[in-house]
Amino acid sequence: MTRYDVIVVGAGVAGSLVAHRLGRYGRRVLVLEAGAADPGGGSARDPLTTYLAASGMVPGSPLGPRTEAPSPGVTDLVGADGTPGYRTAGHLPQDGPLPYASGYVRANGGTGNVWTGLAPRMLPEDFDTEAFGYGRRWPLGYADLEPDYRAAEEELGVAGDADEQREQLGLPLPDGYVFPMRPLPAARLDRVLAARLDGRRVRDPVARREVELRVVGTPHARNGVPDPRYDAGRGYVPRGRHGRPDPESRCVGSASCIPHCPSYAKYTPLKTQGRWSDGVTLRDRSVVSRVLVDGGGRATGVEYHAADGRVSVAHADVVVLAAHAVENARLLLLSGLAERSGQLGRNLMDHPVLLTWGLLPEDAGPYRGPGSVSGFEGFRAGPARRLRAPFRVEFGTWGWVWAKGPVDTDVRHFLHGRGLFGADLRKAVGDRIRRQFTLQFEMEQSADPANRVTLHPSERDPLGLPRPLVTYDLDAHVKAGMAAAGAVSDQLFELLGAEEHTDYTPAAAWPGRFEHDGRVYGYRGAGHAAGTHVMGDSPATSVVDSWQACWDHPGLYAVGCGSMPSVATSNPTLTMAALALRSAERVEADLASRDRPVSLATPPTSRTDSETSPIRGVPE
Amino acid sequence: MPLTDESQRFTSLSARLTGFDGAELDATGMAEAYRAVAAEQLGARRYARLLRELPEEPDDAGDPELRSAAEAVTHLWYTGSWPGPPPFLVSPRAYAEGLVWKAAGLRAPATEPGGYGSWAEAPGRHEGLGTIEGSGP
Ligand SMILES: Cc1cc2nc3c(=O)[nH]c(=O)nc-3n(C[C@H](O)[C@H](O)[C@H](O)COP(=O)(O)OP(=O)(O)OC[C@H]3O[C@@H](n4cnc5c(N)ncnc54)[C@H](O)[C@@H]3O)c2cc1C
Ligand code: SF4
Repeated sequence: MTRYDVIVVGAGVAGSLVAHRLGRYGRRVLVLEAGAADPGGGSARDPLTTYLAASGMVPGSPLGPRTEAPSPGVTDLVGADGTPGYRTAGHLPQDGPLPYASGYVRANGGTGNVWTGLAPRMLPEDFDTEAFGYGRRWPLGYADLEPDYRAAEEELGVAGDADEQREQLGLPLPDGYVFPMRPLPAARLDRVLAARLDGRRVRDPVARREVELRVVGTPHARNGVPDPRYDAGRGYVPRGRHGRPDPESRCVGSASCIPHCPSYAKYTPLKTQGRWSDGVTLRDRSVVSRVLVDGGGRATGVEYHAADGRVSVAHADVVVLAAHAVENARLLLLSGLAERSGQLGRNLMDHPVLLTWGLLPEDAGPYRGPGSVSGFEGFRAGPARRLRAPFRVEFGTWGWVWAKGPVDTDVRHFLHGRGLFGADLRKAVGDRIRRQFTLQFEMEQSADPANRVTLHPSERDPLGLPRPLVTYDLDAHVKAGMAAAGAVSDQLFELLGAEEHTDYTPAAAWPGRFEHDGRVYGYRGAGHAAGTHVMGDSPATSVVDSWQACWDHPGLYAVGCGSMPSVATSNPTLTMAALALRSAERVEADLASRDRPVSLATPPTSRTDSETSPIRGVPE
Repeated sequence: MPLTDESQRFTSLSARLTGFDGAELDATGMAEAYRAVAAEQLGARRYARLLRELPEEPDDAGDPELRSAAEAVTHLWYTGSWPGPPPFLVSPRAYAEGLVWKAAGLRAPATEPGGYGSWAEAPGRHEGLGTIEGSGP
């Protein structure tokens, strides 16, 4: 039996990166992944068929996880009249006042198969919201994570505009830093909004201040045009389908990044897996059910349900859980570990998203390119966050699909609802779709111990393991953020001369619906699960330390957004990737110190020396 | 495939329903498949009634049976899906050729991508992107 240095549980974004980094150090890494190695099931299905099978069913039913490892499906959560205003079925039962409206994917590559690919950094002030009177402080700051942010931007291949990020967001990017790739061209919608709104001011009635509007490009983890200035003039080579250098690979605008990018321009963990060294072994269709520890609490391995149906064990010096925020917490709970602080499973966060939508007076250019290219960043920072949750505003370029469903809805509206046929129908449908746009206000939600994942007392999954049970609500701070967002949206529609169509009915379509100060708000989940094994500076109040190591269990790490003490306003995956790379360094240091008495080799000291980009000729 | 009287009737019916002319409908390559789907899903009697009895202006169809048959066939052309019950997509090709996209001057997502930077332009004005490629700071 092979002896491994490290077992990584879950081959999503976090797990694939940790395995990659440790493999580069020559470590023997076993990755146990619940889904099949090829998330398409190895079939010859063309991307369009995959997409069609999936459209309207995000996330990821076509990715074929084993039935033994179910994940929440989109139709599992349905709105209802009465209290609570929702019903759940399937893998993720819930019993809270409001629904946790996000899913995740258990297939190789994880939720990272179906993500949108927006990759902004957190702001320095996001690491300490306690200063604003809410949430939890991180045990590390922006400056500590900065080198890891750069490393993550290389791994994910981020396209962005460093000068604009400095000037418009105040991000302290190092002097001379540029992203691997140049910013993506702004979408037609972004250009229309910039022409109308840049420099205008809107009033935030909650914070009682005015905010100047400025359309800002979002950093993207999808291939654009490489920046020749990157890496001190060494440039960057975009990576293609299997993570190999592919200089010609570019986003071609298919507008199907969720759930599948047919041209493989979008980053997915499968690209990282394609670059794994020989020391990394993927054992797929293996659902981990328990972490094993010795008498001293040190991790020794895991128990898993293998593809042949048998329960097996694997041993290693270090175990890294990277199974997604909800499943990481579930695994620790199933194992009865890491519970000393009482915080395990608590502080579940998401970005609840307020959607508003309407028709521009002119062409919005919808349904081409990424789902969102640019946004407003001016509501993310500053003293206003004392009074209400801060938010990012994303411009939704895929018509009303997130709000109302696929364009079939528009056809149905005019055909069945209004009785139009012929030229009238053609004109009405065409006009409506061309002018559609959506505003997506992504609220920061703070760490609240009452929002949590526990083990369901009676419901079991097909392997007989208790299902996760979620209890969730939105607090007054988030609701005040939504109220501010609603008021901002009203003013934006006014300034744009846009026709508003926002409507949070029927109830079935809006499980996340609440009334606040006499106005009804409907929200969706962004898929940004965080909290659950929160990091901190004391074992009495947190589950993991700043390295994502479990306080009470030497050799056991829990990585992913689950460690984040605040989810900030940025889409979280880039930050999660930076944290994962940082943890990999720490794991390597642990292993190196273990090795020291018997090995005379000097452990690598600088990550830039040993982590080399493919363009420098290192064999992939 | 020889053009039968019936398929001609189906195309001219479809043109009236959809607002796209015969040539545009033929260009989708879907007419024959849709004719078969409509005939099968509606059943011989309703299908024959639709072909023969639908008034010149389809929205004048007072008869609920005719009316719902007309709606179903129009829905099929616009989305590539039969509206049910149960609803089903005819084929990936049908999705790509949905008139809903053509009515808006767009291409269906995941089909015929417009190329790098094509999202910067208004529909129908996506050619000639040479200037966008390679631009940037
Ligand atoms: C529709 C959608 C859009 C999104 N867009 C963005 C975006 O634009 N920007 C952004 O920053 N974030 C985005 N996200 C969030 C992003 O996808 C997640 O933050 C990220 O994928 C989390 O990575 P992870 O590695 O922690 O978990 P995952 O990617 O979910 O990977 C977990 C892996 O663990 C495996 N696993 C689970 N349980 C077990 C077990 N018991 N045993 C073995 N293996 C197991 C799973 O199969 C999976 O492969 C989006 C999410 C969704 C749903
Ligand atoms: S817009 Fe298309 S090519 Fe670009 S990332 Fe999305 S799916 Fe891929």
